[in-house]
Order: sequence, then structure tokens, then C-alpha cells
Amino acid sequence: MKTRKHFLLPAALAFAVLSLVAWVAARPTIVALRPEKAEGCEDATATADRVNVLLQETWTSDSIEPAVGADDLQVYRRISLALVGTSPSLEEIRRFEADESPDRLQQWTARLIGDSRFVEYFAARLGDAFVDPVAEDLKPHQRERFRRWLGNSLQSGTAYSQIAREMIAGQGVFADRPATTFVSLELSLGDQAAERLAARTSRAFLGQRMDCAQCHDHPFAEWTQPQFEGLAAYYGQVQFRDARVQDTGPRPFVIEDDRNQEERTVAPEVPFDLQWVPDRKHLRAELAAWVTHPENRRFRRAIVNRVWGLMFGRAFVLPVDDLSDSPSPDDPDVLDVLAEDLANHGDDLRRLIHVIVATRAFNLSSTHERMDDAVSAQQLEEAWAVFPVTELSPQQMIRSMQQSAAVQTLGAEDANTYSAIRRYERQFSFVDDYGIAGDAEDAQASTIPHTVQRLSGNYTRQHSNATVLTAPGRIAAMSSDAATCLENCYLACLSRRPTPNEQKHFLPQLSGNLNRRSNAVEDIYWTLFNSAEFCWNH
Amino acid sequence: MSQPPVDRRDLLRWATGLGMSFALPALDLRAASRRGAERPRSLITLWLSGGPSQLETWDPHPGTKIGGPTKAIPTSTPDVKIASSFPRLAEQMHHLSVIRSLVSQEGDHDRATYLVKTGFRPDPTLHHPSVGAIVAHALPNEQLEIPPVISLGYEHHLSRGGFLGGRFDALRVRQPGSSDNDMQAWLAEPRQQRRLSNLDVVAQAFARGRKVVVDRTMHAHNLAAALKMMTSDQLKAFRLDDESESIRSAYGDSNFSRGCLVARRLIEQGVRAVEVTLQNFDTHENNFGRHNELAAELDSSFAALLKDLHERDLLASTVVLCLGEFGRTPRINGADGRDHWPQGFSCLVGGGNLRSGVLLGATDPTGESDTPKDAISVPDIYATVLKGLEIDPTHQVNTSIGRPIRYSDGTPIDRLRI
Repeated sequence: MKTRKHFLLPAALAFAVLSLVAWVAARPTIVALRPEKAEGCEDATATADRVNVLLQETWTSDSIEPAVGADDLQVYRRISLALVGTSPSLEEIRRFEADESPDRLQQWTARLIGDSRFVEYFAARLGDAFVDPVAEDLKPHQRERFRRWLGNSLQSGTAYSQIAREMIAGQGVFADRPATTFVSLELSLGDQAAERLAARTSRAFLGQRMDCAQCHDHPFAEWTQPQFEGLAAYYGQVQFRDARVQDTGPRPFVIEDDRNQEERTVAPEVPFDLQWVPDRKHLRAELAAWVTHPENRRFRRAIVNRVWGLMFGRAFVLPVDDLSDSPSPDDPDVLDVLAEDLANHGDDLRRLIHVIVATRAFNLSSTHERMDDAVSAQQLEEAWAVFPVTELSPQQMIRSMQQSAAVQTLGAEDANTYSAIRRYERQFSFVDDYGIAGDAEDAQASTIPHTVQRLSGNYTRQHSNATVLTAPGRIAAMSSDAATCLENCYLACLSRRPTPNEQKHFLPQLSGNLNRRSNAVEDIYWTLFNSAEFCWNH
Repeated sequence: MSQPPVDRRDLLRWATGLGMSFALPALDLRAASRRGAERPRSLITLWLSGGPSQLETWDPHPGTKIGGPTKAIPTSTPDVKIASSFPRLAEQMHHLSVIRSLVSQEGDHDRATYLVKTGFRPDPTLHHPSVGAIVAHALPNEQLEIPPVISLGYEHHLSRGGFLGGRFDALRVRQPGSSDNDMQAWLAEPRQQRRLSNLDVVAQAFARGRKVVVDRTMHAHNLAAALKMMTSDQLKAFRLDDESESIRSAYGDSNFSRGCLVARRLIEQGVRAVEVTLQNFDTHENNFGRHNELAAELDSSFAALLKDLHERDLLASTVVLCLGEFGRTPRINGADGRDHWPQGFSCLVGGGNLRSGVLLGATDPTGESDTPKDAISVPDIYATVLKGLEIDPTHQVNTSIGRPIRYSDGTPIDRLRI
């Protein structure tokens, strides 16, 4: 009996370890193969066509010939960067290219929306609009909880209007109601929380910088200081006590005037269309209903502009949080067309993503014969007649580097494994070094120290290292010939094949024994990581 | 750092081949040749991260209910006493002025750090540049091959260029004087050359049909400048091999001390703004014991830096500022600690065009009042510092959407101007 026990325990342990290893190893493939019901794509092309017509009108009136269509793999790289924050894996590229269905871009978009990496990346980027991405008072697990809640809500098709209402009016503790982080973060930062919440509400949900009116009337728009203060008063009855966001009931909202330090009481009042404010239990619920009111065009135009920005790398209107007044309803623009479609589809942002991906603008090449001249280039870019070339966010850059260094798709499923933790650590420190721009008017531009870091820093070195476990090592060892080897490097890093000129240059480097080839692959990886093509979305 | 593995002449030849000759450096530079008041100006900030206690540093109140065990000693400035844990600095105080009445509305680390590093309260629509970035923007240095703003030590809140642009972000060097690995090419010559020529080929493919936008990415420019930096002689400023033993031991042997010495070497090269961070001032517990330990580190380094700058005739061209994001409560809490206190904290400032030996403001020795005498706002400090560097604080810069923002919204403090 005793001996059998001795034998069984190690055997069971070995079996468990092996199963775990097999499970972890197999997991990414399962993710990639998981059939996704493509929610929200029905008739997406019909709305996309309405957008196409509007853009075509501009092109025609300005005598612009738009760029040619980009090839599907480049479009897939864009979708992957936008939705899961990385260029596609070699494994995904192979499967994508093997898929011959005519609507494969749509199918693969749906697949990426269903991917756990969508929650981890897209929701985090969108969430930055609602919860300050750099506030360090927010504990990492609370931020993570908030992002996960947002991501799961988006993934399951929860109406964006509902999501917004939960953030503005939610009560409770964050573990149970993650949406309350929107309110609790500002309340925990001390004085003038109501003013900061009003500012964030107007910027995030209405695409309006009303906070300029905090000290003076808005320089461009019609907002006035009393309007801003009236909005802030809606947050005058909320408190954060015992880790709980709750409303106190009626109490006056008092503001200290910056100029004469005199105190005055301000009554809650929304800045326009007062008739949308219903009678609710507490002020924030009234505000939430007003913000998300079906007739509040600013609310949906703002989210459309934001999601367009996440998909294209450049919002339709800039700055993303300061839209000018909506055009007349009889003369809708691109934002209106997309906003109306969103409203007609239950405010489901998955639908919006599908429509944007189906537009012609999203599928255009980023090259154009007239891009050699600054004036015509600007005209083409402003009219969305070429796909915009934008710098990858630091998150996208490090995630793409990590993905290029692995053959299989790196999922979020393995978040509890050692390698995944290491990966997150590296992402974190890389992003910390690069800095996050958020919505501020300082579009992140790569700098000389960033470049030095890519040229000789650890990140590039580690991810171009050719070992038996990394993509560079495996590509060097397993590719049947030099041409295949080069092609694999290019697909893994740039999602394209080398040009004839590039083949001519690189193939001689890849000849010789494995050691020589491994060195050459490391050099090619290093080169591609340092190229503008890798570092920019296009 | 003996010989960089990439030959500088080969590199420059390569850069010329890429049409990047505009980025080429002049080859024989003597950035530090001029001294005294004529020399280009710089700012050194000693950043005490976490919020140092004014009562355990520059504003002690011994023998009062709020003073704790901290004693005061006289300094080389008559009538100015500082905490007794700073004996060496006390001998150098005549180079500095003391402000004991700084006030701000930010009592949270993040927000207060933003305010005290930029001179502006946090604004979600705009990232303000750090004061170092402003100095670098106002005083461009064409001869510099390394970044004009440098942060030394373990500072979590990196000073950024904000709306002035990423090129004014601080270069962060966590262990100054001991490591510069990531700043040099690490491969032997032939392979490094191959990599660079590879880059050229890939860049050509990408530029086709995208010329204007590719130029706009500044990618090639940044590459050339990065390579220039990686092979620059100026990188020697990060190493201490050629400093004498006596200088090194005067500064001390901690990461912060080495940072102070590297800071002096960097401004000699023409770096505009260097920030050296000493962390762990957030003393909610054991305030006195921890401040004593930190004081030991700060005292010798700060005193050596002032003496060194003065002896090398660099102090007239260098403003030195020492502060943290806020001070600490007069009340001593149950854990023998002090909590956050932005209503009357201290800083030291001197050098450049600023008057030294001045004492400004006073806090209530009973700790009852939360408004110090002659209250001074953080923006006022920066308007003063900029004046001390002969920079006009009211100069306006437009953000990317054309919002005009001043270098500083503060008013220069008259009593600190010469």
C-alpha cells in the first residue's frame, strides 16, 4: 500500500504538470480557432457606404484621387494593432492567409473583438478617457478591475449609454461596482473633485472641454463659467467614504471664487437642453440620464470620434475631446452617420468597430503618388484619402516586439504563468519609460533617448535574440531556405513580404551554417525593430 | 567607457550617405571652456521625493510642541538656522537663500509633484513641460550631443517635455556614475555596420509613396542623432573615472552623491537642466529617524556640490534649487511620523542671477496657523528661477492647437533678484 502511494503521487504530479504545460502551450491555438459569432456586422457595409458617399463628395469637390486599396494583410495589421494592441503573430498571419472567405476581414475583426487581448488592450485605451491613465493613487488592481469591467461590457455588447450611466451615477465599492472608479478616483484626490468630475464628464462623454470655463469663458466655444459650475454642482452631493461611493442627499454646493476668495452657492444646472433632465433619486442619476439622452447628439458623436481615433490612430476631429458644434440634423456629417447607426444598434460599440473597419477610408493604402509634396499630402490626409501614418503607442510598440519574438499568438489566457508575468513587467517598464500622452495636446513623438533605447537597449536585444525558444531562433533553424527565412522575419515583424530589392540585399547574409544564419536573423530583427515601418501604423 | 565599438568616422560617413548631414556634429567641441557669469546657463534641481519635513530640514522649531527632537544649528548666513543634521551644508549656506513659506493647494503626491515640477496645477487637457524642459527650450545648445534635460536617480515621476515636445523629456539615468550600458552600441564593428546598412534598405522601401509623412516622423533624424549620442565624447560626463579621489569622497558614496557629481559634469558639457533625486521622504512613520538617515546623504553631497560649483566658477551661471512636492504636518502623528502639508513648506535656492543669504517667510512655531508669513506660491519660485537664468517667464509658447501658454504664471520674487 505504502509503495503504491509513493508511486502514485509523483506520477500524478508529473501528469498534472504535463497536462498544465500542454494546456498552456495549446491555449493560444484554441483562442485563435475559437469560433466567434460575429455580433454587430450585419449590414455594416450599408452604413459604411453612407460614410463612403460623404467622403467621396469631399474628394470630388476638391478634385482628390484617393489612394488605392491596401492589401488585406496590411489592413489586418491595422485592425490587430487597434483592437489587441499588437501586430499579428506569424501563426495568425498563416491562418488569415489560408482563410479564403470573401468577408475574412469582418470575420477576423469579430474574432479579435472576442479575444481576451481585446479586454486587456482596447478597453484599457478607451478606459484612459474615463480614468486618468497616469494617476498613481489608483491601485493597479483597481485600475485593472475597472478596465476588465469595461472590456467585458464592451465584449458582451452592453450599450455604451448604460456603461456611461454606471460610471456617472454608480454607487458602491469598486470590487463590486468597478464603474465607480470613475468617480472615486477624483474624490480621493482632494479639493475640487466636483469640478474635476464635471470637466472629465464633459470631455469624456460629450467631447467638450468645458473646463476652460472653470476660470474663464471657453476661448472658442460658447461655454461660460456659470454653465461649468452648474454642471459641477451635479457632483456636489457625492462622497467617497469607507471605500464606498455614495450620495449624501441634499446639501448646498459651495464654490470659492479664485479671484476674490469669496464663497458662493451654486445650484445644479445642465448647460443645454434642460428638458432632458428627468426626476431621479439623486443628482448624478439625473445627470447620467441627461448625458446619455437619445437626443443628445454630442454624446454619441464624442464616442464615435474616440473609437475612430483608436481604429485609425487619428481621431476624425482633433482634439478628440473638443468637438465643435454638431452640424444641422438635415446635413449630417460622418460622425452623425456613425452615431445614428450606433443608436440604431443598441449603442453596441462592437457594431461601430465593424462599420469603421468596413469603410473605404479604413481600407485605403497609406501611400499615394502625391505624398512627395507637403501641400498635397496635407490635403490628402485631411480628406481621409490616404490611411494616416501615426506613431505606435508605447503599449503597441512593446507588445508588437514581444509578439514578433514569438511564433505563436501571445494570449492573455496565460496571465498566471511566469513568462506572462515577465512580459507584463516588461510592458509596464517600457511604457513607464516612454510615457503616456492621454488626451493632452502633446502628441507623443519618439525622441532621441527612445531611439537609443531601441538601438542598444535591453528590449530590442532580448526580443531579437535567436534561441531555441524564440521566433528568431526558430525561424533561423526551421526555415527550409534563405528566402523562406527572410520572408518569415518580415511577416513576423512587418506583416509583409520583402521587396525584390530587400531580397537582393538580405539573402546573401542568410547563407552559410546555422550559426551564421542565426546571427543574420538577429541582425534582420534588430533592423526591422528599428525601422519606421515597425514603429508607425500605416 | 574606453573606446566605443562603433567608429565615429564610419558612422558619420554612413549618416552622410543617408542624406542626414544636417544632423552631423561639429567634431571638436569645448563646451565647458567658458566659465563665470558669461557661461551658458543651467539649472540643477535636487529633488527630495516624497515630501521632506520642513521642520527636520530648513525650518526647525526646536523646543516647541511641534519641533520634536530636532535641534538647530547656526549657518554661514547670519540669523539662519537649519536642522543640526546638516553641519556641512550649514557652512555653505551663504551661497543660498531660504524660503520657509511655500504654499500650494495640492496635498496628493502625484498632483503636488506635477505642480512643483512644472509650476502649473494638473490640467487633463494639457501636459505642462517640467521647468527643466522650459530652460532647455529657452536656451538651446546646438553643440550638445546628449539630451538637454537629464534626470539622475530613482525618480518615478519623470520630468517631461509636455506640449514643448518629447525631445525635452528628461533622459533618465537611474545609476549615474556607474552604468551607461544602454547608451552605447554593444556589438562589434562589422556587425553594427551591417545593421546600419540594413536599416537604409528597409527605410527606402517604406519611404516610397510616403515621403512627406516619413520625413515628418523624424525617424531618420532621431536615428542619426541617437548614433551621434551613442558615440559622443560627452557621454564621459556620466562616468566618474577621471574625477580625483578627494572630489569623489567629498561628494560621498551613494547613488544620490554620485548623481550630484555627475550633475556638475553634465552642466559643464552644456546640459541645461539636471535633476538629482533623493527619495523616501514620505515619512508617515518614524519621521525623525528616517530624516536623520536621509540628511546624512543629502548634507555631504549638497555641500560638496555647492563648494565645487563655486570653486570652478560655475555657480554664477547655475541656479541650484532644492525642494520636494510638499512639506510635512507640524503635528506629530501616533506613529511618530508627520503627514502631508502643503501649507507652509521650505526650499533652498541660489546661484545664477539670484541673491543669496536671504531668508523669506516664517511658519508659526506653535503649528496652529496654516498660513505662513509672506506666503509664496510655487509658480512664483519658478518665475524667480527663470529670471535667475535670464529667461523671461512671461514668454508664451503655443500648444499644438494654438493655445498660448506662458513659461510661468508666477511673479518673480523681488527680494531674490540682484
